[in-house]
Amino acid sequence: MKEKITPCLWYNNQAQEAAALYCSAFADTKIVAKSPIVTAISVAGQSITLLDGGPRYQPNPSVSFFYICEKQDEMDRIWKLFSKGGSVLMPLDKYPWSERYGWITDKYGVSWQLALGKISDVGQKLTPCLLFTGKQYGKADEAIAHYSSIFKDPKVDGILRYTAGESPDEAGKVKHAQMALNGQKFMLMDSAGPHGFTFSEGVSLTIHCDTQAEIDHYWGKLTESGEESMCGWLKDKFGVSWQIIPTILNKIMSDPAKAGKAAQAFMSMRKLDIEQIVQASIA
Amino acid sequence: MKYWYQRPHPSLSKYLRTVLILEGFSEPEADALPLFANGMPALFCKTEKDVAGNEIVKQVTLFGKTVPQECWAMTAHTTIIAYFFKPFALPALFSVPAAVLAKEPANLESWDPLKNNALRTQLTYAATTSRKSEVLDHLLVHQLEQNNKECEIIQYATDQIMYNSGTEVLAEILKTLNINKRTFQRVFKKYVGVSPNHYRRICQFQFVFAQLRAGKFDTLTDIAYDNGFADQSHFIRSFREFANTTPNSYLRSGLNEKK
Repeated sequence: MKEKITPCLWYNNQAQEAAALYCSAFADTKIVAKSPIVTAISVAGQSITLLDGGPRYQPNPSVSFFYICEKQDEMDRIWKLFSKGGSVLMPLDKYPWSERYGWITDKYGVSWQLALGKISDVGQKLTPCLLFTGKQYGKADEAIAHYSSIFKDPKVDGILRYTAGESPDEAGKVKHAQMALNGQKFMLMDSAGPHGFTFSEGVSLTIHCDTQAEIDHYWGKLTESGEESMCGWLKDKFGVSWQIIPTILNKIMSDPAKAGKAAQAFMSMRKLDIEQIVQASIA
Repeated sequence: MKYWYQRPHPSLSKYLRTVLILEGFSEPEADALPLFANGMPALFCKTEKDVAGNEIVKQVTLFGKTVPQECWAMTAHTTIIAYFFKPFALPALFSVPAAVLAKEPANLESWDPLKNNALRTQLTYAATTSRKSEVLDHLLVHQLEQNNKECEIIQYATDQIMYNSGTEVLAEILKTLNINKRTFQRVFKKYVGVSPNHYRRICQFQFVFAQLRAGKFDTLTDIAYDNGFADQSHFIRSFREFANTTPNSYLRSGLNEKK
């Protein structure tokens, strides 16, 4: 896997069904791995993990995906498929930032911002977008600084701020920001409206680490004022869920002779220990 | 259908009554269930092979009292492993209050979805029934170890705070135990019922109160500084919170005069 950071979506026993929907909706998308718990797809070369984790968590629009359609017919196809059982947050229309744009949540709760345009407008086809709502409202600026201090090659492409008269949003808060971490694009937005959702395990971001030192780095920095969970999961100071995972784990988990033993090892871990997982998997 | 009872893993024998295993291998026989003493708390695990030969985890659930009849329904491809516990064991192992479980069973996916994913992965790749019961044994042993570790953490922390209840003690404990602050707060609250800092302030007040009662001081300011208060007003505020009076009026007229 060439990407450092990949999104992970949480489903209740519907990951494979959802993967099939995404393959039929998005251009150049295919299933690249399948197990009873994890399904992985590649969307125009970008990886998404679909996890069947049960009913406890659901995706919500606090982390959405900005998806660029270069062709009108792709956009129409996706919109039509996601409309079935989904809900529209912003109708397909012309907006100041796009000739044609719409925000839709599919029937599994995963939220997509579709925009007609050129991939070169953002730099990648699919971009995670963090929405700071409720208690996290107004923290997008802090998050940009925080993530910039943690990841390699941080770069802020641009920040658009609310102006007076955009109530309930306060002038100066981040209306839309785009940044790069490790060469990958992210978007951040503050939104004051009564959304009723915030960051959760429903959509998490996985950081793939080659070395234990790297795991230690991201785990240490992201749990600062955040919270450790189990099995390599954590919540950062804004409540965003991250998984800090050894790169080699993907290979181990696709080997039936090793996967169970590795899972036994990491079930008791908070921060993952590469050496212990590898040793357990070959024991 | 084939069934047998299995002796619990040695380190779990204190907590378990017995382990019952059922394997379907021919046509289902709904009324051929073995006679067993239901009504005990149980960890119930049901898996089934699908047409492709993959092991599918149908259910892993904690039951407080009785495993309902419908759970025991089997096909030729079903394996059921049921751990029957001694009455006190489930709350101790899984930190689920017995009263909660008595009302409603807990699926492991809602108890701890992340651990449950790891558990399901293990069960999925456990080719034989004995491997599956090893996986479940390991889960229980792990829970036991983790609870013991938590108890040790709390014992250490409460001891430390008892000896030294100044504001810096909590940071020292975090450093010594090398534990995340939020994790510590969560575990502490689970066992002690109040936050670490609240507990520290209670201990701090106990010291002050003892010192005051024994008359071992020259001035109230000395007491405040001796006991790690940042200043006199913090001291008075804390005293008022726990004793409902000020140090001065306590010295004058005991706890009866309310200020």
